[in-house]
Amino acid sequence: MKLNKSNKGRQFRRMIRTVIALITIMPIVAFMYLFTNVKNEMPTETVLTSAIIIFIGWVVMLDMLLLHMLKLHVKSQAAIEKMQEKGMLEEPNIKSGVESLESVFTTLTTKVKESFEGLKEMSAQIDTLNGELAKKMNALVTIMHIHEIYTQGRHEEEIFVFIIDKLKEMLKLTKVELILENGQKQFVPFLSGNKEDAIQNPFADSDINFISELNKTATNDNNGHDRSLEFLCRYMKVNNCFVVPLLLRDNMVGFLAGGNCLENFSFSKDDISLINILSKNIVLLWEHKKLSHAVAGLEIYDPLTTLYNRKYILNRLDEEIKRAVLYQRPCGLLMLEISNLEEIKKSSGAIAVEKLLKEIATTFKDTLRPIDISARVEENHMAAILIEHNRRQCQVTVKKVQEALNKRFENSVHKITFRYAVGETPIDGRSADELIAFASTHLKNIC
Amino acid sequence: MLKRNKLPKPLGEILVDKGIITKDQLNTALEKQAEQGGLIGEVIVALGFATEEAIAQCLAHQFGFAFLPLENYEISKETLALVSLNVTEHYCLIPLDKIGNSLTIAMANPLNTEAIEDLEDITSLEIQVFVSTSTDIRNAIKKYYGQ
Repeated sequence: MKLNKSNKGRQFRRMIRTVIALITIMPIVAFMYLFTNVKNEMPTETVLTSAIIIFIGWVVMLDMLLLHMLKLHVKSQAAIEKMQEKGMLEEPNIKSGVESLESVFTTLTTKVKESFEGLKEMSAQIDTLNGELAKKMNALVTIMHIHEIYTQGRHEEEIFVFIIDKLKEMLKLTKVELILENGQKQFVPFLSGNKEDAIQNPFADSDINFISELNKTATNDNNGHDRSLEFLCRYMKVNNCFVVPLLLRDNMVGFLAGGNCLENFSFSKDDISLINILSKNIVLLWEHKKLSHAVAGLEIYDPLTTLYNRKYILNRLDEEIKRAVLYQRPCGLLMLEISNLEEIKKSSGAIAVEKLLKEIATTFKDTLRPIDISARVEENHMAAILIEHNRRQCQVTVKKVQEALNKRFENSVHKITFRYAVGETPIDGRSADELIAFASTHLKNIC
Repeated sequence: MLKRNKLPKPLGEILVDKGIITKDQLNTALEKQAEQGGLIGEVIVALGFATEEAIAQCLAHQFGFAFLPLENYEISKETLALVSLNVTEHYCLIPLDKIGNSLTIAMANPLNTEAIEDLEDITSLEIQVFVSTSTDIRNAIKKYYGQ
């Protein structure tokens, strides 16, 4: 190290001397140039004086420069010595560097391994979360689908079947039973399209009471064995089961139960939530079904034609027949059939048929007397009670209706064919059903 | 002789005009009819203001029909078969005899033209009407139709 240091000092000094020598030559060169080129034009004294001034100035400047450089050199030498004393300029230990690199590499490898394990764990957790998310999405889609098919006007029983199938699929159940009250305080299994095979009243009153007293979903699975649910497991022939009462304003209208035979199976919280949501949907649909039936019983108009419906005309016809009997008067019934309605539906579509039915109904009603009662009794049948009309008078009315319909539809794109029939109390029947049946079997084309 | 005309005035007023019942009795009968329904002739009889026979004879005389008591009248099965029990009970009439193209009937209300038209349609015969009381006709129906 010291050798290197002295060599560097000598080289530096040699370089300084060379620079000084070169710099010293420059004013002499300048003087020689002036002396040879400018001496004829300028006095020799002036030239010499200028050369001396230049030389002296040059020497002063050089002296200052050299002094400054020497100072810098001394400072740098001192700094180097200090660094040497602190060992900062010692050569690195390659062996220890390799060792430390190896240890760093080992540490990094360990860290990477740890991170990889962490990633694997995270991936497993993400898979689980994805599974749960998919399950929840499936539940959500199921609920949305239930509402969709409900708004499509599907039959409630069809939706019940859909819910049962979905529960089986989503909770891996082999058996799901929907038990509903049948209107006679009996709880019977709901079996779509196979009601005759249903076991009537398969549960004891004590079982029903037990379920009705449950205020939440009860389970019998790997998480807990509830002996009180054993009757359900036996009924469904499963090892794990759940049951939830279907409560409508604190009254049990049925219950939903299901199960499977899987080992180490337990119902998760999400499963219970799904069961609760679907059971509530079932209750809503059940209530809707009951209300729909009640409303249907109250309806008196056919929604399409605004004529009265079949139920209403049957009631009114019975009343009119009673009145006719009391006052010894006839009571007529006119029936009109649109014979080719189905063909028109196939060729022109349901909307065209609906429009046609409305027009026929309007013409039919307008042709009758205001006291006569007109109704749509079937898809393509309309009827009217012709009050105090006997058969002969009914035939006159048929002619009027026929003329009105022919006139109304003479330029129609649809070639409609009508058939007519009349019936009369007392000749053709003494009740509404008899009269309607008679008219339905005596429909004729009238030209 | 059949006259297919509607009553020129209600039966109750005819009975008042003929002096069979009084105006007050008619009003009472009309009130009763409004409450309970039924034919005015039957209501007047039920209230005891007149007899069935008196009303039947009044109607017959007023509109030119013959009055026929049915007590001792015999009806053949062939004649009975022409009109169903439903029709006889409903219109309170009974077929009496078929002579040629003509069917004789007895009915309580000879002005019920719809009933006569129905009989014409059912039997394809010309209908000759006699007047009788409701009670006689119902008894005859029971007797001959086995009711």
